[in-house]
Formats: sequence, structure tokens, C-alpha cells
Amino acid sequence: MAPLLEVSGLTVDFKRAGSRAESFRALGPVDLRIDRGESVAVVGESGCGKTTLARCLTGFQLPTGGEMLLDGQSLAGRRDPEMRRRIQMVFQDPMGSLNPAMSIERSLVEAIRNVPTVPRADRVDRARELLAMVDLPDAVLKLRPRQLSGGQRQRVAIARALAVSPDVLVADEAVSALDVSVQATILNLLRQLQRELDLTLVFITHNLAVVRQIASRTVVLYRGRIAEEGPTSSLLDDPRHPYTSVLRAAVPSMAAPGRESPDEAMDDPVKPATSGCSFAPRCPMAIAPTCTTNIPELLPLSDRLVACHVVHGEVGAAPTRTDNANGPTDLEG
Amino acid sequence: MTPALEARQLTIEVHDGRRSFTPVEDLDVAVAPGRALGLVGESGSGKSLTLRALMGLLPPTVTVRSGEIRMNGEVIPRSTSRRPRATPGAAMVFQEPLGALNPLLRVRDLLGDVLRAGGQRGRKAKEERALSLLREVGIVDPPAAMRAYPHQLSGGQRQRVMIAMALASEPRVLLCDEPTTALDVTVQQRILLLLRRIRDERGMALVYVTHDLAVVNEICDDVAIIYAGQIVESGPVDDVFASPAHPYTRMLIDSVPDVTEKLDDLVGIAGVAPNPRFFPAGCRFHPRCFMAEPSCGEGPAFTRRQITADRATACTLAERLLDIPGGSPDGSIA
Repeated sequence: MAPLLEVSGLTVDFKRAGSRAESFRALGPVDLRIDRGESVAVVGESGCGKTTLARCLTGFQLPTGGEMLLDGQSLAGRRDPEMRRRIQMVFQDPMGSLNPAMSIERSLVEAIRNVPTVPRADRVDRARELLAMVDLPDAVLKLRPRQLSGGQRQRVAIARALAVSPDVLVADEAVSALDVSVQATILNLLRQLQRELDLTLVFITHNLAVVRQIASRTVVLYRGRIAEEGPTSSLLDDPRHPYTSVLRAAVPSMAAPGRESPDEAMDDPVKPATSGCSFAPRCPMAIAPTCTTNIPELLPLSDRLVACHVVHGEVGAAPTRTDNANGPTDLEG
Repeated sequence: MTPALEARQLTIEVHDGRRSFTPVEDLDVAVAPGRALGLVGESGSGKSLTLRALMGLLPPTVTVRSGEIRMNGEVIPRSTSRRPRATPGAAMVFQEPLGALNPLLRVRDLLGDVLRAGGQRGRKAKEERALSLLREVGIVDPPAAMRAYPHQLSGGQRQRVMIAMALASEPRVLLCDEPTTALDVTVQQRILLLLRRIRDERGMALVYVTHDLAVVNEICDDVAIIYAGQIVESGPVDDVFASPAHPYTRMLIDSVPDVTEKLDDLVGIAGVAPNPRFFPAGCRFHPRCFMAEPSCGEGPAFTRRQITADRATACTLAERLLDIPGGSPDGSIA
């Protein structure tokens, strides 16, 4: 079966300040295939390109190169309203995405107007239906965003995104600003909607604990490229790429307080690599010259894809992973 | 043992035009020397106000109405003038170092200023002291860092510089207001390890305000859970997390997504935290509580009691909860 969403060779370059300055590659090249009804998390630290990827998918950012297909149709360039409808986005801060002067009813009706199959007379009914989908009472229709709590606002933002019955929902840090008690209820809601509506969910986040709860597949980005990709639970339980290991080991947990933590290490700023693997300067396993000269390809390894020379045995014998994965050599500040 | 820092019956008043209200009421909290206390609450719970009151740095429209703050058992006199006065022996680390560090000053001058304020004299002595502080907080190249402006440092380095500035006054208590919330997780991990190390080396007490229970689990010895301006439960982290004695703590723990396992149902807490202008009568958590009984909506707002030598709860029904340690309560609301 052809994937619902197919991204190949996607790149985004940003110009640095100054006209003659060289451009900066924020993303790519990235290849990604997402099936209908899948829930895929894109994770990484600040600056890894995860938000840029989300903005490309939703059409807020024009890619520099590469191709994006939805059901085989190109998403590059200007999108017609039908293509725009099919991919919707939910942002971190719903206060910024809902018009503060509009009642919730107007905000929702405004979105519903884009759906030709809903007659004008039925729009308010549809708004009510959407609120019910996100477990909000009808009374919310008459309120303004600031009269709602953060969690309620995020529910409205989700309802608004669902108003046009999208195929793909891209959630960019959609629960990051919420209190943990509210975050849990929004995660439950997204899980439930995804199941019931057969939604395809692209979940952008820095929070691996959240990823575990929501995504069946996880893509780890580092400096614009995919470092590792695979089924969420096996990727988190048994990370293969050294960066995934470092990331996973850094997540604070409620379980096992006495777990082994790495040495504190020094806060050494590492200059971005100019050649080779971009993670090599921080990598506990990097072996010169292979890692410092050649960019690793994203290649299959058991149930996933990994971009690492060492893991793929391209530099002599691979050292045992677990010995180094939690090592004290993670230096980035 | 005398606590390093202690608040007794702390009530904080916010003056909002002609009206005023008390977002923090009758709050008791204490941290022992050499220990780390996590002060945990959700947005609007009063945790940051409490921390600022402990530091003696409340904004002008906010005052301590009653209660006292003690450092090593001695009452800190309240500032009588309009100018806030920092609690001696305490120092603070903020969430966003870029906002707390003067962007026009190099690290040398940032540190120099706090050292001079602390009575350090002599250019050479200050320079040496600054370098040794930067080394202590794990800055790799202290001389280079001394010449840098805040924007030239990474987020983790900025937080280290801020910690160095806090240490310059040789504090007995370090107050941390979500110092790692804005940082990437790998950087957060090392800042937490750094805080733990300097706490151990200096025998300092640490008060760590956060909404992140997992961080508390990693760095704190004791925890105090704050809800609607009151401490609802306190005790050693391991005991409280293994067997909470307040339904709010229980529900909070069940809401935390954990990286080690996928939960079939995250519990969450229905409803919202009350507005401090209109706290509910009786137990302030009862409208959202899964075990609430009609009597919970009556009676005094505050019923904190010791249940063991080092644990306290504000729930009158706590014993019921303790009968089901570690188990998820039935009838909870998703």
C-alpha cells in the first residue's frame, strides 16, 4: 500500500543575516513515509529541525528542495484549498492560534465555512458536534478564549483543526505548555480521536515520555537529519543510535530512582561538524576518520533505520553499544 | 535538627487595585541543611510566590501578610521599607537565565558585581574568585567564559553562570525556580547533576520549585506538594511517591507520562485549579477529588497533620488512601 504521506529528499535552507552570507541548512535531506492512521512522533532537541519539518508538512514553510506527496499528489509550491484542508496543525500555545476577540462559536464556524458539504444552517450544529468530540460542553460556544483554561483552549484548537475533517493532524508541542494533570487528559483525547477518526497523527515534541504514550513510531532528528527511526517502544527500550541513547538516558523518570546516571561532564560547547556525521563531535563511539569525513546513510537495522557508521560496522568491529551509551562523554552545552 | 530555611504560617497577599487576595495561606515548609526539597505544584498554585517570599524578593504589589521566615532558626525581620530585602544566606537561580543576566555585561562583570556586593575587594582577588566559581560550576574554559556576553553562551552555560553568581554569596540555601524547564533534556540532566554535586560539596540546602515530578524524583530528598496556596502533603520523596497520602498527589503521579512504560490510560485531573480570589470552602481540592465526601466541603480550609515522624498530609481521609499503596484509585476521572 502506498503511504498516505511521503517525503523524499526534503531540505530547508535559511539565509543567514547579510546578503552574501552562506545559507544554513535547518533540515534535511529527510525521507519519511507515513501510512494512514499511523501515529508518528518526531523528536529532538532545540534546533534539530522538528518544527521546520512540521511547518513544511502544513505548508507554512516552503522547502528548498525535495518532494512531499499526499496520496501521490505533490504538496510542494502553492496548495489548493483541498490540499490545505487535508493537513491541519495544532500549536503549542492555543492563545496564539485562536482569535481573542472571537467567541469560540465564531472561531469554529469560521473554520467550518471551508467545508462545502456543511450547509450554512447546520454550521452551529457542527460546531457543537466538534466540541462534543473534544469533550467540551455547548456552553463553551459563547465564551472567548481568555475565559477558558489552557487545557480547554487546547481542546478548542483541536476541534478547530478537526472542523475540516483533515487526514493528517500535525501537533507541534501541543501538550508542552500544559500542566501535567491537563497534559494527560489532552493526550488521552488525541489517542481517542486518532483511533475513532482514523486520523494520521504527526506529533512533534522534545518529550520522550509523551512520545511513549502517543506514538507507534518515532523519528529522532539531529541537526536536521534523521538519526534513528523505528517502533516507539523498541526504540526507547533499546536505542541503537548513540544520540538516541544519550537522549533516552537523559530523560528524568519516576521509575527506579537509583538508576545509573552518567558523570556530570563539563559544559563544553561543541562546534557543529563541518564534515562527516553531525553527531560525531559529541559521540562517545565516533571513530576517525570515517565518522568525521563521511555522512552516514540511514540504513535498515533489525526493526528500524539508523544513520551511524559504527552501528552498521562500517568502521571495523562495532564496540558493544551498552558500554558506551550512557558514557560520560556527552559534551554539548 | 534546625531547618536551614523554614516558613511558618506564611500568608502572602496580592494587592490588585482596591481588592486584595491571598494566593498563599498558612503555608508551612522547611528544608534541612544538606538536603534538597522539591516544591511541586501546577501553574497558579503559589509555588513561585512562595519561593520569592523565602528569598525576600516579592514584587511591590505582593506582601507577606503574616507568618515568619526563619534561617537556621532565626526569624528574618520583614523589610519595613518599600524596597525588598533579600534574605541573607539565601540565593536564587531563575528559570530563564537570559532574562536574569544583564545582556550588556560580560561574565567577568556579572560575577564581579555580585562579588563586590558580597564585600570582596581587590581586582585580582575578585578575578581569581570568579574563575574558581566558574570552574566549580563546570565551565570548561573559565578565562574564555569571563570575556563572553550572555548571548554568546549556550543555554546550559548561561544557567551555569547564573549558578556561579548565586554561589558567589556563599549561600546556605539555594532557591531554584524551575532552572531546567527551558533547557534541552541532555542539558537539564547535567545541570541537575551539577546542583546535586555543589549541594553535597557545600552542604547547602536546596529548594527546587518545579511542576515536573520526574525531576523531583531525580534530584530531591524531600517533597512538598502545593495546591491552591497550601502544602497538601510533605515527606521524603521515596515514601510519598511510593504511597501518597493525599488524593491530589495520587492523581498527579498517575498523570505523569513515563518514558519507561506506555500507560493504557493516563488519569489526569478533571476541572481546573481554583482561582485564588475564590478558593472553595473546606478542602480546596475537594471539587476535583475522586474520594471527596460531603464533609470535605465543610470545615476548616486547612487540616494538615503528621502521619509519621517525617510525613504530613492535609487530607482527613488519608488513611483510606494508604490502604491501597501504589494502586490506582478506582473511580478516578480521566
